Amino acid sequence: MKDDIQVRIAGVAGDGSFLTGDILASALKKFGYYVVTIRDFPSNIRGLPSNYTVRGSLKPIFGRKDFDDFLIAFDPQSVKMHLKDLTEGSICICNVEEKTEFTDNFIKKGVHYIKVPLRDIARKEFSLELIKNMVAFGMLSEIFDFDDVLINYVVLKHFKRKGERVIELNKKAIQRGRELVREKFKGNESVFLDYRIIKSEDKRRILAMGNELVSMGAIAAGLRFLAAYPITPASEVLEFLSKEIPKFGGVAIQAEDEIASINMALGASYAGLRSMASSSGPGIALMTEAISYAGMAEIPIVIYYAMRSGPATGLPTKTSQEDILFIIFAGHGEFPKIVLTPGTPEEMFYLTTEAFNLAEEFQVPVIILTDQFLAQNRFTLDRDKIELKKIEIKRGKLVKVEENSNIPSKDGFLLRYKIEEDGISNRFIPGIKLGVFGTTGLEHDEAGYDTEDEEVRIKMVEKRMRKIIYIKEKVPKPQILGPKESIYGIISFGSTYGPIIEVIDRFKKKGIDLSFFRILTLWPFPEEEIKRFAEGKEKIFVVEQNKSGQLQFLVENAIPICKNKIVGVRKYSGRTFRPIEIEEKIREEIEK
Amino acid sequence: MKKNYEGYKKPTWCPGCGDFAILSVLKKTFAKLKIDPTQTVVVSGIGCSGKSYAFIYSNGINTLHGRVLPIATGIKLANPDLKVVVLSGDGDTLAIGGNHFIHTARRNVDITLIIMDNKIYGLTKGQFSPTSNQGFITVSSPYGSKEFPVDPVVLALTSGASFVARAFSGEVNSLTQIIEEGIKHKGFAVIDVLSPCVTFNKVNTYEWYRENIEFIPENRDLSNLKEAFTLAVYTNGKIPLGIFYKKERPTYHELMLDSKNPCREDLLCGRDRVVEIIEKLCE
Repeated sequence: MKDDIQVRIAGVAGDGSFLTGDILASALKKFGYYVVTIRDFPSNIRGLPSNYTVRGSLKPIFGRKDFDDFLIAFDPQSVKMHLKDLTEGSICICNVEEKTEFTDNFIKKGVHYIKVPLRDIARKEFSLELIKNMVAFGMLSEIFDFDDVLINYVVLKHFKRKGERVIELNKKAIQRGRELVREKFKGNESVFLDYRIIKSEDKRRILAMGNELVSMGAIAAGLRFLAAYPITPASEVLEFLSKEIPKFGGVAIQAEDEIASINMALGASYAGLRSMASSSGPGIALMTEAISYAGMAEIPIVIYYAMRSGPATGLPTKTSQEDILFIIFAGHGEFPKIVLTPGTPEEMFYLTTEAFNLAEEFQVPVIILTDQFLAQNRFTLDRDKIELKKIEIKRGKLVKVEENSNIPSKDGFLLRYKIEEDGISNRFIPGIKLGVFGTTGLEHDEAGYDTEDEEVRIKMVEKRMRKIIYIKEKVPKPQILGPKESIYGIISFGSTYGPIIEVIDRFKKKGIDLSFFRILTLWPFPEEEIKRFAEGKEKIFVVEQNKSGQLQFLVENAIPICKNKIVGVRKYSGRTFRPIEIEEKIREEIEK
Repeated sequence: MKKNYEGYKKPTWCPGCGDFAILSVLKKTFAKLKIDPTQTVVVSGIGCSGKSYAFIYSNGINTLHGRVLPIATGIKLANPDLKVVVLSGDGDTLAIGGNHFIHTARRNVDITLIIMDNKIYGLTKGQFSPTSNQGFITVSSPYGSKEFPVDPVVLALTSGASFVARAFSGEVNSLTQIIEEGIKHKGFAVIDVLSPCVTFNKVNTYEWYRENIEFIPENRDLSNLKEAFTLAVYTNGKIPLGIFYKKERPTYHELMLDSKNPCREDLLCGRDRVVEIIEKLCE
């Protein structure tokens, strides 16, 4: 019986492996499993290798496990490609004739091979090659011991819209897959006993993509305006919100480029809406001038940033944490900015809602920084974790349009940038009857009109920068997991959460405690908290997905005296960490 | 209400600058049309034209260089009740912001764009611009500009602007009529105003324009696009002035918003839908 299984479905883009994976994910979820689905796809529509991994576990999971239990390979090439991820006891279902002999580079010791001509069966028996996916799913269903009730449920869920004929065809294909397994292993069924699913009841969990959770968080927070340009891995936010926002009186615009998108969002925010622009590295690079403008004109704006591998066009469909220093310093000149880094599905939702509050309370740009792994993969989340009542909407010093009090004006001009102790001025929006106001990216006076006066310049710089003091008090605090007094610490953020908590668990079983400092606000950097965390530590592992150690650079800057205790654990292949990669590096260091 | 729409600042343009006439006509038009300055936003970019936001009594937003149209689009879509007038330059609209010009026209965003077109970069002291004539000698084109000038009128017509006109700041009567028509127009109104730069452009002077402009016939069917193109393109070497095209079609906010005003919607109104989606994702 398996309480944690991982299936990889591999073929070429256009093969339909994502749908197969999604159906498997629905089935596992129905049996009470936590699920993660991981897309690994090329920046290409058809023909290049692509694969989809589904992991199901009875314990909460947020990432890939070390090895695959199953590989469904729709071509022999995929076997070769993913052999390294198989291990003792893994099962490889491969689309080849039964009599095919594999050469050495297709074979790994301890892996069971099931050779079935899936494509031929699909073509000959169903006149539809694509249905090979469902034959393969049928084979898994037999091995996992899925019952017909469940199969009918998932087929209906995924093919309801396609009509009765398609539903029946898919059911038949699944039954054919089950038969194949029964035929092949007649009298030898015990091989699979280990792989039976532990069936429990459906826990009513949400299964959603990170980008969807961000989008829903934004709506719940009152987002009314999105402008974006299509880009992997952020496009789903544009797609989701283009469908949803108009339903409650908002706007989603596909702009002509990212420069237009953020400026449109700034225009909308200036006019009073909660607004967002979303993109990835190349698009955010184009937005940096406008980020600086938002800082100067003090227009609240939320920017959703899903990182991918760079530089330049890089690996468009692969994950990374390469843009840490870029984003915290993005924009010319000096101005406060907030960068939030969710690492779990729950945080993708809630930190997004928080981003809108922080943007309006401090009238600054707020960036929600994720990566391809979090953005485009699906995760389960307990339904009761999402409580909309818990989400407050805080609009800071926004003055209502209908306001008719005696807010001081200077000859009909409202003091939009009045110098205040906390650096935050009353925010007016055009349409307010009390008067008019100026807004500019030039240095300006209290009414918002440009000036080069030295004294005003100094006061205005100080006013804007003063906000940082109050921002530091309000932003989400880092989370420390595991015993604080442990001599070994890990510092990381974002999508590394999944593998790291598994690594901590493994060490704990061996009697070694690791304490994990999770950064939720990357900027302003939690220097004070890191200083406290570092006390008494013998080794601090900074885990990040880049080559140069950008997070480590920030950590070392916070605790220079601990520099020789800091060890970087890095990966920059475009693929997410597997727990074992972190585990081995830490073990090596601890055993030194 | 401020008298005569006097702005926060007095204009700081060079004496004789063509932009004075544009500003003065705009203020008079605001007065004539009884435009409520609190319900209006003047959007300006960077360059000499960019200063305008401070020279007229209304809400004013001075954007980044070239980004007047995206900002204006965001404002109009966020609150369609606001009147949005964009004052921009030839460099701002057609060089650094050229991309946005095309797409704002395609969308037919309900804003008025007045291009203060002096065929030069004035504020950076005299480099050639996208509307500069070929061969134009400036500090950055010492051997004469090798580039063919863009015609804002033709570009606006091909891109889908629903009101397209050209005026000259030395011809105040027609300028007044065109700006009024443009502001009243529902949809994207593009007005290219030839505005001499007396300091840096010693070629396209008031006198030069007077010799080189020609008014197009007024009593036409203004919704005839073919005729508009003909008048804009086949010019016998003269610069045609007047309203080339005017045809209303649904504006971007009408198409996008279904007569709602996002600024008036309750921020919590999307939450029921989030619950619905979440329940569905639980299935």
